[in-house]
Amino acid sequence: MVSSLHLAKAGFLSAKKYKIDWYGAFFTPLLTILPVVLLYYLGTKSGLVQFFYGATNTKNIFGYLLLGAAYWNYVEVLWGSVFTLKYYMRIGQLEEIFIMPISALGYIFSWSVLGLVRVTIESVPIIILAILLNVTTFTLIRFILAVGVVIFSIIASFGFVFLFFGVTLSFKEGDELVSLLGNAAPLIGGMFFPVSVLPKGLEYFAYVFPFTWGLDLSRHFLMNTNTLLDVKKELIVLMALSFLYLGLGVLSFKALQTKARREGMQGF
Amino acid sequence: MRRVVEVTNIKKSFGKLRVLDKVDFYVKEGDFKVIIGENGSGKSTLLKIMVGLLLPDEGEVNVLGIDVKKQWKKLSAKIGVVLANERSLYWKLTAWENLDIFGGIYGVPKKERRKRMKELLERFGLFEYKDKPVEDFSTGMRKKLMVCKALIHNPKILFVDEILNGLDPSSTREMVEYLSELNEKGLTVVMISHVLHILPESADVALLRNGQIQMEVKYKDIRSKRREIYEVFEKLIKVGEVDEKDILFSREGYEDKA
Repeated sequence: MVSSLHLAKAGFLSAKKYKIDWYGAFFTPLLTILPVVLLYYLGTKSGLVQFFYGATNTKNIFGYLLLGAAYWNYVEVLWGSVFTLKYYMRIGQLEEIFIMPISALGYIFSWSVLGLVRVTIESVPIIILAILLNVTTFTLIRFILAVGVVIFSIIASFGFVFLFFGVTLSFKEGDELVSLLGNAAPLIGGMFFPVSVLPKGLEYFAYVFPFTWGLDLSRHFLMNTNTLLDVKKELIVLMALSFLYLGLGVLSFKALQTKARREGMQGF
Repeated sequence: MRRVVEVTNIKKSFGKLRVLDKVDFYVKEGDFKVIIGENGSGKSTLLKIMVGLLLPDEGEVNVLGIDVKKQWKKLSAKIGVVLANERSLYWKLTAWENLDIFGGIYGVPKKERRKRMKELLERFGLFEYKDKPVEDFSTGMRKKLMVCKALIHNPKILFVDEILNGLDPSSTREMVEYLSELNEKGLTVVMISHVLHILPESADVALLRNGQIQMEVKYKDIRSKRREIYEVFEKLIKVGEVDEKDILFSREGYEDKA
């Protein structure tokens, strides 16, 4: 794990030198809140917001959307990791990285930590705003529970993404599939509206994503919204998915390494 | 001297292309072994198999007593590898930051790491540039830093892939001198090179041709009073043999596998 911390440090230092990344991070909260304001305004005018009141158990749809947007920034980091790996592959650095004495789990950790820290910094103003809009339901315990849920669901989501990364390398259209899922996931995973209003087929599909459960639970703890299942059962589902996807992600990464060792990086 | 690299009956294909065909190859502790061959002859493939980056289709690879096919991560902490790709360094980071990070990744304790970083940068004439980002380095400086990086954890064997390509004459000479000096101090070196006129006297040259190691000779034996050294190597690489008149010294103890 110490080795992977040093690999993560390389990511931090490199990001520090690309100053544009940090200017971008500064504007991210603003760029996230503005579309939410627009969505809320148009949603209220069109009656869409009122439609969701019943399904969400909150009239604070603005806060509901803000939390969804903040959470989704974390999910975006996951897809970013896939494209970073593909970039390393293209420039030939992945071979050099593979040869280091780092385990599959260590790689996943080191590639994730920079993005997670960055997105946390970016999301703080959004989360504070969402909490301010929910002062009546906010307690420290519920906040801690929400943070715990986010951490668990992000661990699960990283496993899921690495599983997906391994799968997409098996065929040429992998990039397109990652983009498709990355674009569709906010709609299916509950960022804009509750999963329960989706057509049944899509609703069941949404249950496969770990972030669906993470977002649902973190909203519940911060805003007292309805949950998909009983809270205790949902926590168990989230835990189970975390371990399952992390295990599958590590296996997928190992399979990727073995494929790379058999066919060479040019084999992808 | 014990064998620190043992490659036995290795076969490797990419699709229908057979690159290595029953390669047997060994390196003894303290050797300076240079693998030569035409472009596409499989030199880099063989090196990558030795360090664990590629799996052979058949055959066994044992380095420092470790089964490389199964325990390549265990091996990686004991060997230094310089691949041909300069992108193995973090270009936005300084030379010092690069070595600090790689030293950390390879588990070198902080105090020892700093000492070793200073020693290596001084030895390779890079200490005064330690705070410059790698992207501002010349090709020669980057290659020297790549060697520093590969040596940061004090490996027992150094594997080097075409480090001399793209270097000017004086940088080439310097690099060979550095590697030769390290070898004299006990480091085993396995190197792939197309630059053959300036190798260390102690080097052994292994010719990879038609997917096999066809010949192993002492570098100092391949000298000619009749021809330019390049002509001799050109014939050796293309035809797989040299005229007896081009070999000045005895080849006793070396196998001609052709």
